[in-house]
Amino acid sequence: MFRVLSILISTLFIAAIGFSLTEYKENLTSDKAIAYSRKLPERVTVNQAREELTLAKRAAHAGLGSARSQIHLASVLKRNARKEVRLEDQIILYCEALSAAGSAVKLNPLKASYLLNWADLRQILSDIECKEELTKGSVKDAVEYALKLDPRNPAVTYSAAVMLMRIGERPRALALLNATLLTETALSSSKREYVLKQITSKEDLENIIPARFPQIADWSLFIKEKRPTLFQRESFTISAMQLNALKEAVKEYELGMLPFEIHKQRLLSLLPSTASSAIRQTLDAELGRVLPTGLQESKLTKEYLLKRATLSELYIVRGVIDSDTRSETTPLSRWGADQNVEIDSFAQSVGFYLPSGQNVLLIELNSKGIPASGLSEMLRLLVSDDNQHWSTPRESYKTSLVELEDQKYLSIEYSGEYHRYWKINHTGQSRSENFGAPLQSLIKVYGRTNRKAEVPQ
Amino acid sequence: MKVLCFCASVVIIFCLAIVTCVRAEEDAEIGVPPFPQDLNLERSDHPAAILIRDLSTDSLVRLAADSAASMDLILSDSFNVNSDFSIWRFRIRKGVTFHAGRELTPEDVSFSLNRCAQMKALPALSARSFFDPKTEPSDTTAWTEIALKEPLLLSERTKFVSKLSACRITPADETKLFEADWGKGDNFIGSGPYQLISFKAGTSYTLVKNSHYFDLKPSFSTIKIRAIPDPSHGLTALRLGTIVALVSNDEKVNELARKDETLLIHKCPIGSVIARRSLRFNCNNGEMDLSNLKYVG
Repeated sequence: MFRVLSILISTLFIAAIGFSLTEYKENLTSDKAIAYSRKLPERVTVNQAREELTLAKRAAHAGLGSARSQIHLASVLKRNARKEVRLEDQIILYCEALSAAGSAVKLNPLKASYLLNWADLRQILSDIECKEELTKGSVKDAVEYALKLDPRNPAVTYSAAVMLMRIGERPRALALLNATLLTETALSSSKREYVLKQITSKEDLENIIPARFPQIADWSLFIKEKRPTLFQRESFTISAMQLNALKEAVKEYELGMLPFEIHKQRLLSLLPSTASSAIRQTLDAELGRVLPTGLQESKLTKEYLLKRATLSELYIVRGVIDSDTRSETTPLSRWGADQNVEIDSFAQSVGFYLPSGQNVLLIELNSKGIPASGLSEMLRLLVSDDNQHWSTPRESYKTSLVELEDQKYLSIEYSGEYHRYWKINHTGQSRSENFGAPLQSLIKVYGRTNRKAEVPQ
Repeated sequence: MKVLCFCASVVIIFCLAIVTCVRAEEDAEIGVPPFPQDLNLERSDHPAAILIRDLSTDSLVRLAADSAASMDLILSDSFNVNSDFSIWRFRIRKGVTFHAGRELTPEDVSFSLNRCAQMKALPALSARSFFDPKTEPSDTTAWTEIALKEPLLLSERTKFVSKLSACRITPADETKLFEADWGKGDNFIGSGPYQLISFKAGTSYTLVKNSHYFDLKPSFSTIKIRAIPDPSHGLTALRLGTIVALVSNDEKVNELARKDETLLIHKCPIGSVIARRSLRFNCNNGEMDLSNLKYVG
């Protein structure tokens, strides 16, 4: 009895050692192959590609039980297939890759990403049939099954959306992109670009972009920067989405579900990409309402925001003059330029042309830079009606500096006559060149307007 | 010692020659007849306004320099037209930017063409931008379509292209915002080889090189258009090298210039242009093209 038991134990022990040795060998080979692939540069040479494929095949063969090595082989084959010139050779490699991906699914049928990998390769091959095993099946079924396995994983929903988009299932794909954005707020830049490319209409915007924070602020800014024409054309829709998100955020804050700091950060994050003057005014009013009044500085900021909330942003054409030492005779020029301008440079001037039907009440220079002390006193306001003869306005004006987080606003409050041309000239001797921004965002003008929204602000 | 002095003199003369040449290529002044203080750069037929339009803006097409029957594409890179010449479609060139820095769009082109038609500089038409759904998303329109109210006869085609080439493409937003003040002073933005940056009412306009110009790089760093009331003073300035060209319709002055072997008279739409012989001043088929204004030889 004891002898039988000891034989059994020894057999089990030997089997265990054998098994772990195999595992070790297999993992080592697979890891080696993957490590080799990772080390390769973007453009691999023919020899490097061959070596990579040999290693991947060896690893997959050695580790027949490892899904990971099969997936690696599939990806190497796919990469090699893309480089082939002849279609026939491409098909052979894609079929082999599909089969390897199929083996991975067989080994680990509950892994959604393996299923999507297979579906991706199957979709590339379209209706081409392969002689290898595990290469037959429906792309749509594989994608749907992957979604069932891992419905909340943004990597899965994103890949599923891409594949469904390719096979013409656009409405479902858009819904999946929306699901992706709801759960993932830090998509890679290439994925963000892909999502952006899918947006072509008002409906796409509403279906893809979640009208809630933080997504609405993030995506509004992204669209504004990458596709300004779309942002401008769909400003009404984006504005409505921003308003919904804003209302929801205010409600959550009022119900005590949101701490003040997060509420403030959300409001601030939307400020650079408001789609309409009305949204900017609503944001200003809400920020002005919730900011504490304890410190003198925040009291000033609060008052400033509440004042700005009552004013519309005016339509202007921005201009600039460098080294404006003869500020009373030098015309504003470089209309519409978007160069970086530091108002605290030597004799720097910035200004604007004010179309008719508008009254200036507040001129704002804003930057994240730290202004030199006393900069607001060194700014001189000049007005002109012919862009040739400049003078200080008859009415007095007040300059001040307001801070809102890292954003600084140099403001000029004015109330007086209409003039066509306006210039702010730096009269100080300092050349600190700290307080600057691209001209189009450096200077903003608020007041009363009776113009319709016909051009972007 | 003598050899050393000789070598040094040669080197100095050589350097001076280079400096002079480089200097000459840097700035240029063109003399024009006096112009009013409120000169409108968009609408006026004054030589100064035409010169500035030509230097600072571009058009969709231009009559070809070598044949009046064909056209060069400028702000477009492809076009098609229907059989009765009533529908013209132009694909807008990518990568062209206005001096303001913003990229040219088909909407700017449509806006400018409709504006030209409103000002009667083009026949009755309606221009619109559109996109090709097969190749681009709806917000990246690439085409402008011109639908003429009346079809054109074959013989009218050249005249239409000539009018198209006179219609300058400007940014829609800024043009709209400047309203009645567009074209006054330096309120004028284009995409041309030179950018208008300054003016002195009734005296001069200053343009600087547009380093981002999509076509041939401009040769001069600055071009000044200066009013010269007396053409004979202009001729003296030309001979002294203060200016490089003079627009003159004074026959006496032109006659004197004809006798001067260093000068050449070009017959241009703005009148007679007396220029230094070495200056390339393109006036062909009654069209003027200053995009390649430069010294030759």
